[in-house]
Amino acid sequence: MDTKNAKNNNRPSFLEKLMLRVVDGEATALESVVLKVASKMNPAVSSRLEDFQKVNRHLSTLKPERVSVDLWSQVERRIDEEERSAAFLGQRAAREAQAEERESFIKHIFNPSLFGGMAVGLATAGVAFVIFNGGISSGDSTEVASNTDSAAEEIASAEHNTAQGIANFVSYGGSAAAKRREQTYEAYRNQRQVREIRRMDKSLPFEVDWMRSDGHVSFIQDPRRGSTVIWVKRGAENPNRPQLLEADPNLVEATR
Amino acid sequence: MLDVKRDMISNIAQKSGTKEVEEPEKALVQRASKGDRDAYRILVEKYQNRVYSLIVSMVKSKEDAEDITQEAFVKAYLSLKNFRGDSSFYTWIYRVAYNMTIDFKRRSSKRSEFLATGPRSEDGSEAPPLDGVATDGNPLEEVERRELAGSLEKAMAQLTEEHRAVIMLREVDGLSYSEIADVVGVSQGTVMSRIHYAKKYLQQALKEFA
Repeated sequence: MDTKNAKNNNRPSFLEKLMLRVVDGEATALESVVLKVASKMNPAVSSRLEDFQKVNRHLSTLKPERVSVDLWSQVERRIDEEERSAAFLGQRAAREAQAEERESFIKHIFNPSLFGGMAVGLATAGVAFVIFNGGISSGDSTEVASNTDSAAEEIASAEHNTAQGIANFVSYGGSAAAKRREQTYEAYRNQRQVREIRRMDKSLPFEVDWMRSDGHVSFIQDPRRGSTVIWVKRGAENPNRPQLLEADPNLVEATR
Repeated sequence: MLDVKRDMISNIAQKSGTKEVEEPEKALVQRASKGDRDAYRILVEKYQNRVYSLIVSMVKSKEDAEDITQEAFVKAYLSLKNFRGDSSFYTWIYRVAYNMTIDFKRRSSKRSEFLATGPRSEDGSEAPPLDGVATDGNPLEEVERRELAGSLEKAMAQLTEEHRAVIMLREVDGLSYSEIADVVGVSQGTVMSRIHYAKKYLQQALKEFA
């Protein structure tokens, strides 16, 4: 109850709102006249209005503080950094897109749905052969479809393993790697987790992009699995910021 | 009414030493959004002190305030293409700065420490009076003004950052209630309540001054 009363006491009354609006120049002409009349009729209103005006006079002595550094130079340098980084990632994305285009035909061939279509076609041809020739049992066409599905599963499994391997590396080896700031992949390419990934896919290099790090650990992988960027939190500049050195695999997201 | 306010803001800008430019702000914003750095530099120099004042009133650490001010202007530049011009540039940059400061405050644990101990400089001594308090002429008046400035700063420090922010936006930047509501992201009623509470508190704290 007391709290409620205290809250109500902090709420401006109608008259106080009116006074506030008048001294802050927010009132209409009519509101100003109403307050003028009220303050003439009631000394308490007049006194309260004077209090508000006094506070405003005190506050009018405040002036903006001045930035002590050449802010524009710093802002411009940071904008340059951001634009360079964006351009770098943009060029990289363009290269990856070109590579994707070049290999789209190969990918198309290994597309599981195409395999599925081919399997359906083969099955249809098999059924037609059986109908017109009365020879082969239906189990053979099922086998063709089954083989096609297993090829697709194998591809999917390989992709999953690679992604899982990276997730394991980030979650297991990420902490140690992050502590060794500014080190490149070369410094820890022979670590066990990296060797495991390289065994899975020998063409898979790693990069740690410290400049772009923003608190999330993630990897961007191009369609050929030829390039991976891991963004890692830089924690040293601001001790209040949490340091994300060891990633939860849930934070690892494949953007491609 | 609006013109009067703009003139007031312009006067504040001149008093604070920032360069007043002839080119309309809208044109500058358009040029800046197309990558014109010179146009953006004019905008930064025009608003840097006021944005900084708002931030420093909320975080109380000048270094942190400078960092946040810098990042606010960087973020604003990179987002200029998304600026639709529904509001004026200055309320927009204030909003960016205000939100970044609130985020910073949420991340940092300094708030409770600050509120418990009051404003202190880095070496632990009491913070000096505000740099920006006007002084002129009579030495006696200047002493009184310095005393007032010190008391005002102490009283302001006892307010929460939300209350300090609305006071700064209102009294230093001359924003209207609706503009403050836009910047802070609350209703006009809430803005009025905060201003009312803050002024009532300041009135009590400064009652010894004429």
